[in-house]
Amino acid sequence: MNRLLLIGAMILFISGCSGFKDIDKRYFVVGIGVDRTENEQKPYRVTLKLGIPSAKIQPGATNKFELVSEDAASIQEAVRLIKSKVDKELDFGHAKIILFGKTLVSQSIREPLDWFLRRRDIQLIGLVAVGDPSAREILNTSPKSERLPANSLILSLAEEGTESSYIVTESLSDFHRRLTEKGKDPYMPVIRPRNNSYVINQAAVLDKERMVGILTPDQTRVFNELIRKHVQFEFKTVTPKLRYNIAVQNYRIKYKLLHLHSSEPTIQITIKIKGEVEESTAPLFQEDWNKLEELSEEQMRERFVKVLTYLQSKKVDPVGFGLRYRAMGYISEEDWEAWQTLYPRAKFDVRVHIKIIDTGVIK
Amino acid sequence: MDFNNTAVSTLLQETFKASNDFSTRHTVKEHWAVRYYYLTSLCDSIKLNESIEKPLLSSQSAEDFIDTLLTLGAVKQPDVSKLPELIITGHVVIQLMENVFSLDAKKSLNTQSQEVKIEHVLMGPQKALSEDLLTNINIIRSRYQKHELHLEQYVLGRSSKTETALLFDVHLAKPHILDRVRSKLLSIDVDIVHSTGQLEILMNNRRISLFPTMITTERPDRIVLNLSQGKVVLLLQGSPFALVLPAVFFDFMSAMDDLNQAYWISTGLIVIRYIALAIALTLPALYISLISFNPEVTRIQLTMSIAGSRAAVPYPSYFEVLFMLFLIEALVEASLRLPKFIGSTATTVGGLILGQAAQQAGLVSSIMIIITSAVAISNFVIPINTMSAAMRIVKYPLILLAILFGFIGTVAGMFFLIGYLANMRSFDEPYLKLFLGERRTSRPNKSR
Repeated sequence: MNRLLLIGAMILFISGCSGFKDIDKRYFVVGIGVDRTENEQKPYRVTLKLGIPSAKIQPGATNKFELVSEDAASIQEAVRLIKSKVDKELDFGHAKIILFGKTLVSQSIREPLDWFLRRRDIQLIGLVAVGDPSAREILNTSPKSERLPANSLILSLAEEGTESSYIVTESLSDFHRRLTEKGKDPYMPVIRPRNNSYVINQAAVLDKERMVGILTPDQTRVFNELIRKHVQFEFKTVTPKLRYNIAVQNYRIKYKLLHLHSSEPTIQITIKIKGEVEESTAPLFQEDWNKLEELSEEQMRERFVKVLTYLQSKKVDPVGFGLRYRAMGYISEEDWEAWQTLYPRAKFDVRVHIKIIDTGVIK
Repeated sequence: MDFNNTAVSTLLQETFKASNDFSTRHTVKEHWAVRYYYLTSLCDSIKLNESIEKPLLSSQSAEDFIDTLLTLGAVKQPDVSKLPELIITGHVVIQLMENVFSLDAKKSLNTQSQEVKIEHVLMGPQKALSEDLLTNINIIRSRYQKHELHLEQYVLGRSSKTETALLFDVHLAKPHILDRVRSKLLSIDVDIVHSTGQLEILMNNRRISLFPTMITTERPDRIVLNLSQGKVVLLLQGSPFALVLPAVFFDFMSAMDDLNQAYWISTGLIVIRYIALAIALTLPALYISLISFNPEVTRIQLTMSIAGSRAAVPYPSYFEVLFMLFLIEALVEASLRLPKFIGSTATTVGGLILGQAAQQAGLVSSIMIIITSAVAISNFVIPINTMSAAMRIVKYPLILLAILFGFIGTVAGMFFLIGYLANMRSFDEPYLKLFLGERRTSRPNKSR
């Protein structure tokens, strides 16, 4: 009986315990943004997007949120200060969107990232991205179709909703892996605001410390094809006579590192593409399909070589050629240094094989 | 009339002085007289007519009549002190000159087998057991026509003197289980035994028990199936239920419909049953863990809408859960006890209150209503009533653990539950044993 009483008393007082906190007394952080300030004393501006729950879900009406910012010397300090500004317990369990301001990323990413990796309540499946011009501005946007705060960003970045070949996706865990792994460099999608909505069609490439360049939308698409290997994409071929667009359902990319010890190290990339024509300015069925394929192959090759050379010129390697090199056998420290001089002067030998399986219309 | 005869008469008249249904008949023929005593309420007048009055009229002499009586099953009773007891068990005591005979003339009531009330099946036998022991044995014997079916009779209860039958297939039943059942039946020492549930508790040897270790069933087909699997069946006079033992956990999750349907249908239904069991057991505890400890488990979209629906509820989550569960348990209990005609009213009113008003009043969240009904419905999926009642209780310790320790508590609670079940024995058979080594008695065999 006494034991029962004791348990009863424990339950009565449990609402004061640390672990027990009801869901309505938590403030869910749905997005975290980190920007760089001008102030040297307080370099980090942390912005938290706090979701306000509603009982009935309606598009555009229930994506209410509160945006709280704080400048501090470290992210942890900023979060502590923000805690005193809100009435409920902050819960980072659902912080799926992690944005870094463009200025911050151009300077250094390692130091601010550390907090996210150490906190146990921040999930490593969180999605990282660069906010252009600032993370705060992206978090402050609420698109009309959105049902829950930050839902649009989650839908586009996690590929739950739209699947675009322009959107590159990067999770926190993979970003961290690339940041520490020799031979595979990190990247992030770049999000820009536009009229109460977002445009995500660029990718930022980083070396092990900071951002070194932003790809154009066209380059981003090729970049996506290179690193993800299962995107659906389209590309156009322009000939003097006509223009046609091929939609690709599946493709395979293989690469080999050749002639590493010669004067002309080569990275041979073989791409096999199967696709059907989705748009054309002239009837194609009677044309010689082999010729069309050849034309497309040539233009496709150029697209890939352009992006690869750009990445090479920035001395970054998001595709992971360096990692492949390290996997080829025992690689000593000297070998690795040799690769680092090898990669900038490597030649890209891209071989594209396109097969048109359908012209889209019946003769 | 000698001394002995007067003694019988006085003894019986004296014993049943206060019973108005005690009747004495006296007939005198040429040279001899017959006196017989019985309780009118217990004895069948047709039987009396057939076995005493008619022979009496046609008999030429006393010896002739005695012969007829003995042929009809009368027993000579030398001990006068036993006579009152015989009369209360429905015998007629016949006094003929210096001899005393007793003859069973008990009227059997409720010999009709009833409609199935608890274990409904869609396609299958629709009649359950009756309340009469002999009828029940009849039903079972005609469904299990093997001479290996043995029957042993016991009388339980000092006052109720309930006749009990122990049935088993002598080739299939395990002898050590039989011995244990016999010794337990003999050791029962109570005033009244009325129902199989009570008998189960008496045979359990445990003051506190939760999970049933014997199946209580009203279906003859289930009884016969179990007999053919080598199990032991106990029948009680006056009870339309039978006890089947030993029973393992998985027996309680099987319905007779499983035999009537195609393989994939019955397998699918069994899977659904186990999912329902999991829901009925863990959902309230998981809800508390989710709401109060780890809201990051679900997707953000769901979390936000749960948070929204809980916004109006001022009390902590466990209050909400216990409140709703109490109401639903009260509703179930009330609709069980109420007369059939009021029963539907109670459920309608209760359903309305639980479904709408409680949520609008801000006492509970709308998600909680879904959980409550899911738990209640899932609980009724468990086919054997005693197991479903046990599962109704087991979810509360899990809720307590969830309140104190969240997900860890729930998982630990499930661990303890499974550990406890694994530790249990039903007549020396491990409770969580998957196969009792029984033959496939009612499904096509692979080897064939």
